[in-house]
This record gives sequence, C-alpha cells and structure tokens, in this order.
Amino acid sequence: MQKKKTIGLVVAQPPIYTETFLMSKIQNLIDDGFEVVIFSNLNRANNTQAPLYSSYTELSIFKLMYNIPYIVFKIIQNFKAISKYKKYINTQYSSTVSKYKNIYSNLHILFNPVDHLHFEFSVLAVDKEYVAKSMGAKMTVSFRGYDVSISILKNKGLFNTVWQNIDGVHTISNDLVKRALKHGMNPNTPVAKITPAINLSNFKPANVVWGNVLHITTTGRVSWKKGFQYVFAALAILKKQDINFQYHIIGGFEEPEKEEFLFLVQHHQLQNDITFHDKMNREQLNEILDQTHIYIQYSVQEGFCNAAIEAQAKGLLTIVSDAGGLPENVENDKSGWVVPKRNSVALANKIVEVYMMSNEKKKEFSENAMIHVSRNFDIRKQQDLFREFFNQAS
Amino acid sequence: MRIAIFASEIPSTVFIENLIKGLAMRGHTIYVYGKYIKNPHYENYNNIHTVKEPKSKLGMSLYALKYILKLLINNPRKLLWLLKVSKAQSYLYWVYRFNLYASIAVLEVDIFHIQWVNSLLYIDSFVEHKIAKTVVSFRGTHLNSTPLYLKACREAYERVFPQVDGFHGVSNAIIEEAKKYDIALGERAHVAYPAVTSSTLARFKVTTKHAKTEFHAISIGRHHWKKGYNYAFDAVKILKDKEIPIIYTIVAHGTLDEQLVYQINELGIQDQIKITGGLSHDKVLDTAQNSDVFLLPSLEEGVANVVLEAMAIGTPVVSTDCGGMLEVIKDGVNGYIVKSGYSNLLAEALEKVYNLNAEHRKNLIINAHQTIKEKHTLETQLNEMEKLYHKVLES
Repeated sequence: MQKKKTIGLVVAQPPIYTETFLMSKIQNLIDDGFEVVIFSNLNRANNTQAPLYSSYTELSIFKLMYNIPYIVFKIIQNFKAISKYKKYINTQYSSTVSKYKNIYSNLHILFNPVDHLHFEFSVLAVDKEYVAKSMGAKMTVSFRGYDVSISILKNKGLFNTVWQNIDGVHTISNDLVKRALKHGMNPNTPVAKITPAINLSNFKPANVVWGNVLHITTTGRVSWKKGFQYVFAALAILKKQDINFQYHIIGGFEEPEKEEFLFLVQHHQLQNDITFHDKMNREQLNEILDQTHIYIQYSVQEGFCNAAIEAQAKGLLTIVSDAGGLPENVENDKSGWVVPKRNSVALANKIVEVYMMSNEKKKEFSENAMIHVSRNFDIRKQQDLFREFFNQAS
Repeated sequence: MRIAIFASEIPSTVFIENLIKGLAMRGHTIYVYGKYIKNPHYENYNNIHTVKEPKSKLGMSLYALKYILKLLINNPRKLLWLLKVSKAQSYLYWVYRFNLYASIAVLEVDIFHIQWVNSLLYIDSFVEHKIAKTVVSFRGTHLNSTPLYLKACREAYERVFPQVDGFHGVSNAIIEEAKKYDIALGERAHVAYPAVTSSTLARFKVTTKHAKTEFHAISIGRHHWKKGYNYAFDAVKILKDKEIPIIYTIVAHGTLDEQLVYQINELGIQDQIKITGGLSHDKVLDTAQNSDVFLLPSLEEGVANVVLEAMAIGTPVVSTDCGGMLEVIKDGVNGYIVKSGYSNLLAEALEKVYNLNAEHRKNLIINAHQTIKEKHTLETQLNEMEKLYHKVLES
C-alpha cells in the first residue's frame, strides 16, 4: 500500500470551530487521503482531527526541564535534518545566539518531518525559510492580503529568502501575485489561484422590498482598510441630495481606530443614519442582509473579501471598490459594480445610479450576482482545487 | 493678579508658555503647577514660580505630608476640608488631588487656570468645591472626540461645566461646540485667539512662486489621523494626474503609520511625498517660507498655530474649515478654505494657488499678513486673557 502523503500546515494559531475555512480545509485534506499535521507557535485548543505540534518557545522553564529527555531523543532521531538546517541558516544569521534561537524555535517542525510544508500566510514562513528544504519536503505559501500588501511595505526584503525557497504559491487573487512579483518573487514560481468560496446552501436569495428608506450594509471591522472614511463622505453627499437611507456596519471596531470613525460620523452629521453592530452570527446577519438594498465594500485594501461573495450569493446589489482582489470578486456592470477606490464622489454617484435603476434592471443584476457566485465561488469547486494543489506540489 | 496655571507639563505648549511670560511681563504673579520635564527658562522673571508635581509615589506622599503639617499648624479646619474634598477611590489618586488642591489653597490665588479641559475628569471636586475661582481652556480634541468614546468624560463635563467660573476658547467655534455640555456657558466664555510672536511677524516677505518646474506644498504637524494626511495624499494624487508638478512635504516627528505608507505606495506618489522631522522652529519657518503653499488638511484643530505662522511670514495657505479656521481665513481673500474630509476640494484649492497670477498671489499674502497683525499678536491675546480673568474676578 502506498504511504500517505503528509502535509504540514503552519498556522498562526491552531484552528477552532469558529474558523470554518481552516477547519473544513483540514478535514477535506484528511478525507482526500492526506495525513495532516498542524504546526503553530501557539499552544491552544485544536478542534481538528490533525495533531498539533506547537513551538517549544511556548514552554515554561519547568515544562522544558521535564521535556529535556524527549527533546534530546528527538534531536538524535532528526540529527541529519537539524544539522542540514543549521548549515542552511549559517549565512542568514551573523550571531551564534540568534542562530540557535532560530533552530530552537523551529524544533517542533524539524522533529516531525512531512512531505509538504505549507504556510497559511507568507509572513509565517519568515525565519522558517529553510525548514522544508532541510527535511526534504516541498514548501508552499498562501497569499491572503495583509502580508503581501502591507507587511512587505513595512519591511522591504522581508520575503526575499522565502521567494528563493518556495516551490509553489496559493493565492486568493491575481492582484496579490502582481504585488509579490513587484517585490521580488521569482516569476517562474508555480502559482495556483484558489479564491475564497462559500457553501451555497447557506445563502438563500434575499427578498428585498424597496420602500422610502434605502438600506445599505457593509460587513467588516471598522478600520482604515475598509475605506469607511470614503463611505461616510459619500453618504454625506447622499444626505445633501435628500436621499433617506440607513447604513448598517456589522463587525465591530478596530479599537485604536474607534475614535477616528466615531468622529467622522459626527463630522458628516450621520449620527442618525449609521448603526454600528458587533460581530453577528449567521442568522442575525442574514436578517439584516435580507433587508439590504445595496451592499457596499469600498475597501482601500482587501485580499478578496468573503463578505462580498456572500452578498452576491444573496442577490444583493453590490458595489465594491477596485482595491486588491475585489475586481476579481465582482464582475463590473454584471454581478455588481466596481468603483475606483478612494473617491467618495464616484461612490456617491454609483449609489444614486443604482438606487434610481428600474426594478427590472435591479432584478437582472441580482440574478446575475447569484449566477456569478454559483459558477465561480462554490466551495465544492474550491475543495477540488485544493486537492489538486497539494497533489501537484507534493 | 495672582494666577495659578495648571499645566500638565513644565514647560508646556508654546501657547501657554507665551501666556505665562506675557502675563508676568504685565506684572501678574504666576504659579505654574505641573510635572517638571525640563528648564522652562523663567530666570528673567521674578514673578513666575514653578510648583513641581512630585513624580514618584514616595515623592507624592512626602509632598502631602509637608502640606498636612503646614496646614495642621496654620489652619487645621482647612486641612480637614481639603482632605475631605480631595478624597478619591485609591490612595494615590487621593494624594495626587490633595497635593494639587492644598498647593493652590495655600497660595491663595485669584484665578486657577486649568489647561486643558479634560483635566476636569480627575480634578472635578476642585471646581465643585470652589477651592479657587477657575478658568478652563478648551481644546478641540477633548470636546468633540474624547467624549465620543469615553462616557465618563461626557458625564464629567455635563456635571462640572456649570460650576466653572470662566472658559477660554481659541475660537467661537470651539465655544459653540462646548455648549453641548452646558447650554448656558456662553456668558462665562471668552475668545482669545492664538498668536504669533513679533519675531515671526518680522520674517514677513511677499514670496513669489519658487520654481517653474515644481510646486511645493508643506504641512507641519504630528502624525495623527486628525491631521488628515490621508486626504492630502489623495489630493496630491489628483494633482499629479493633472500633471501639476506637486512636491508635498510633511514636517513631523515620528514615523508614518501603515495606513499612510500603504496609501503612498498604492497611489504611486512616492516621488511626490517628502517626510522630514526633527527641525528647529526656525528651520521649520524657513522651510515653510520656501514653499509655494501651506496646507492644513486637518479634520480637527482649535485654531492651528502653524497656519497663523504661515500667514504671518508670507506663505499662501490652503486650509480645511476644521475648528475655528473659518474665523481666520476668508476664502480667496487671505487664503483658501474648504470643507474638511474631502480630498477633491483640497486638490481644487491647491490648484487655485498653483494658478494664481503674481498680482493675486501678492494680494492674498498681504491680506493674510494683515489678518495676523490685526487679530493674532501676543498683545491682543494677552489683552483678551486679562479681560477674561477680570470678568471672572468680578463674577
């Protein structure tokens, strides 16, 4: 019998039930016949069937003492991979202390060899660039948004060693690949685009009734990345045109930015027109989406945006910005509308245009949106693509 | 008059330091209470006294002990009263309040001037028990921003404002804002606009556009969302797309946050933006004077001193209408002023300055300088502050 391929997934924190994407991804890989192990720096509850190996840097001094015999045994058992790793990182670290610190922080992976080491965010691969190579495994990373869009700007050259060592990339959008290439990724690196997807059976078409009040909704934490400063300015323009609207924002605040956005609401005199909701469960969210006439995702930075897929799946009239992967998510003038980012006037004009559209036209867009999602963002299709990705790369 | 100024730090902001020295020069006796950070250079003034707030826990306790003994001998009833009114939830908070209240009570000042209004959150009982007549200075951010997310602040303002004897605002706009918390405070409030020094005024010259190939805009101020730099960057992008050769310099301490770094990269305006910090005040004024336009893209300010300085030295100004800026700038007369929070409006105003002919530019600059000379000199500012103090004493 052929030995099962082992996939090591490096994650920021072990998945729990609420992290449905990672939970189902791991379960599907197991169902597809892969052996999956999880590596994380954190030692926290793990709700998957895959075993979790967390970093020894998390151990208290007492637990470490207790574990020393085991660690020594594992070092002897994996001596070849560890000495190879030490050789690889010789040039990366000038000081002996930082070199050994790095080895220690990666022992949990080096002790558990896999065939394929996949990093769920590219930033997780930093300081672990040679781990896969040392154990003779393939190395792949996922591009999801923040890391390739922002981390890379804050720390130029952050991914240079990652680029040299990866055998493949999973990206949620072409936009992120473009960014990575701009920052030095080898153009010959194999790339698989697998967008986020949804379970279509969870999304029933919204049965929206149009009345005197225009209901607008956005899902997402209130932060600069979601472009709310531009949305508020656009809504102020709407208000000047005597359009009666209610805007619902679902997801709560990024605490440090709360002051700024509360100020902006007051500044644009929108206190009676905007409602901030905390994070909601699916049922509560659907209740609001079912009354939503226009869904807005006017981000300035976005990986792909599940919320915009979900809005289209419910047949909502969806307006997004052209930031990040959003133009790949919404088909402009077909499944919704893509408006140039950072332009409140353009956004306000588009909202008015959609609001004034005939009911037939609105219906047409709504149906197009649902068809678009079922064709392109069905979770079953995503599962097939992930299976293919791990089969090809392994 | 004997005036105690409650500043959070010694030395305090330029505005307060000018006020302290100006009042001393007019013969008033000034006590400055606050955390001593560095030498405020009051050596030439015999009538300015610093009352240093102790920094450590032990220091606070010893300081309190000194006042307890002093009052025990001279006025035990007052001691008991002060201990009672300064009482707070924790020992340290109690000691902190007692030290302040006792210092001021012993000094027997005519006016206790609190900089800034948010101090009322923790020294509310000073005002409520009328240990001395109080004047409170408003600061925009403490009125229209902090209370939005801090309920305790809102409640403290509503409770304490009616007990305050006088309010100082840097603009009428800020006083209007404060009426949210006490509708009747108008009669007790007085405007004293910020001012520029005579040496800044003396730098004035009618500047011409500096280079044909570049259009230099400058902003001065810390990196903070209130400064609205994100709107300025969008405006720079609009101008760049119109092929206006803008170079935008921000003079500020600290580093840009990730939002702005990301924005510069996304907009592809890396060559148009220059960030510089750590310049002396003189050097900052030089840089402003060598720019074609001074830009204030802020969402919130009182009356921005940097704008007054730019107007004083002869650099045309584009400002948002935040805070009290409408009381300084008349659009198209002594500068340009647009609604805050809209980058397209900032871009339009900057374009107007770019296209100004020499004559119009000269008039604008002269008018701006005249505005400062008429309304924003230290002399005027001190006159207005004295008027406020007298009004409070007579009340």
